[in-house]
Amino acid sequence: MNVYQVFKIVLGLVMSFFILFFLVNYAGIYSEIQEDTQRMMIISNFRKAVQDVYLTGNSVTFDDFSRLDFNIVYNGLVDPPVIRSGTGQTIIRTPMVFVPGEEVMIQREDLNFGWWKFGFVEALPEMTVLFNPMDTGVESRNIMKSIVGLFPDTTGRTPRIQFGFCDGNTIKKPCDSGNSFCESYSFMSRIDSYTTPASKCTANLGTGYRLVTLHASCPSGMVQKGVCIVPRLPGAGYGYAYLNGSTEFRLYKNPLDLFALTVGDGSNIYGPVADNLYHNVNNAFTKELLLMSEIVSQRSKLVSSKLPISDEKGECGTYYSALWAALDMMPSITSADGYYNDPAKVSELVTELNNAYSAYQDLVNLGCEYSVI
Amino acid sequence: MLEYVLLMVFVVAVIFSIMIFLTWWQITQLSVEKTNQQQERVLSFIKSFIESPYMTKENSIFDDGKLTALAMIPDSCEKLRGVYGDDWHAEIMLMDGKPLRECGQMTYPDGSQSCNYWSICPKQTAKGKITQIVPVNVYRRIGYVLNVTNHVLPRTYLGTLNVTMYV
Repeated sequence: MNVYQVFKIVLGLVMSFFILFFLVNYAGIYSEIQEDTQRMMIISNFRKAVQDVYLTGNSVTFDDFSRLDFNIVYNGLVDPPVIRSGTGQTIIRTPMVFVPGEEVMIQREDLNFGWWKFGFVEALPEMTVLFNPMDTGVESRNIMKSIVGLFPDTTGRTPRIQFGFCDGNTIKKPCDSGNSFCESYSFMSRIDSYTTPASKCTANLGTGYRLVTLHASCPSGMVQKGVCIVPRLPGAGYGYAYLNGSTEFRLYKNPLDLFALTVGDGSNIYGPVADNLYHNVNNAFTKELLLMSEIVSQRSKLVSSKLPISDEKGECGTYYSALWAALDMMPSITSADGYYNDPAKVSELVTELNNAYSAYQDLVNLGCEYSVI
Repeated sequence: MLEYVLLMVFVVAVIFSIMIFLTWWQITQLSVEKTNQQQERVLSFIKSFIESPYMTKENSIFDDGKLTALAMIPDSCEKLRGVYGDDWHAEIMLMDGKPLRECGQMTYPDGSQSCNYWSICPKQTAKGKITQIVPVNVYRRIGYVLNVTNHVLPRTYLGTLNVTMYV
């Protein structure tokens, strides 16, 4: 073998190495770009699915998140709200309670305030919600029903969202003669039959469980996992809830607040998921409330100034005045950041929402207005 | 030696061709996806609009009172853009065969001089735009149908929603 042949072999090896290195490098980059593109398309499809459910009210199962590894975080506190995955982010304007998972059930729910319905979408993975009713009074049962009422019934579908009880170290499966957890519809009827107060839940719960405790002693931090709810006093417009043994309260004024505190589990870059969801839903609620109240107030003033002669008794006008008086209070009540966790502000808000509800129902009963459906 | 060099040049040329093709394919796909998304955005926007609680009485029926109230709120466009995104303009007009008359405080339904047109957010000057027109219903709180007891009854009119998205 002469020097020239050795030179050819070395040159061939060097060239081959460079070409191979270049190809592997390019393939790696190309594959990463492809995966990122697919991730963004999946998130875009998710956004579309959420919007379709919001507009049509037909629930769907979305399982594209199982195709690739995702590290998704939904941030509803920025304007506009975004879903972040890696370095990319997608705007998603639909009011939403989103708990990431490989397969999520997307469903629309509404809160009806008489003059306005606040619609939102919930996107939930498989989970089992366990109630620990240490208090079994009427208000506690109403709280359980209001929370369960916001969950989808997943009978014959996936992902399954089921319900049961926890009593001491026992997890109780109330359906099929105590052999299985219940779906939301069947669980509703089991709530009223649970009349003996349970002991504090000490069962070892895995990641798929959400624990909801009902007891007056929540402020002492007695429950280390899940949400602990203090039943509302009769006539009170709001109540107190505590997360993961914290002594810091979160106020609830409607079932959506409780729902957000219930479904969140674990933490992400923004902190405890349940806490994020609570702030997210209140942010979306406030934004829509402010715009809707301004429009409906303005509309009431406009319509009442042009009432036909048929309103000769002036009844419509009186109730329109009551309606816009309540609605015009909304900007001042909600002006402070985090007003939804201030008892005085929330009390005022609930009072004015009730006043607006009554005034609008009177308008409907008098034939001056249409029912919000 | 020359045949090795030629072979090498050929191999490198093939590799580069494949790379250029793949990159071009990726860019083309993204471009097609962008166009599809723009079309989808317009349709989604229309769907959101005709079911918006801010403007409708119920799904697919606009409320003339809410539309006029929006026209009277000074910064309503900014607030709606916070909900529906930027870069759009919408017009709703009744198909009543009368000259267009924009609704506001002074022109809100009032006998034969009734208004019949709402413009939401100003038009913009942009390079590209996509426009869609769809038929809609408009509920008029103070209508012009008198029943036997001389009560003025509400009425639902046919109109069009004209949406322009700027891209």
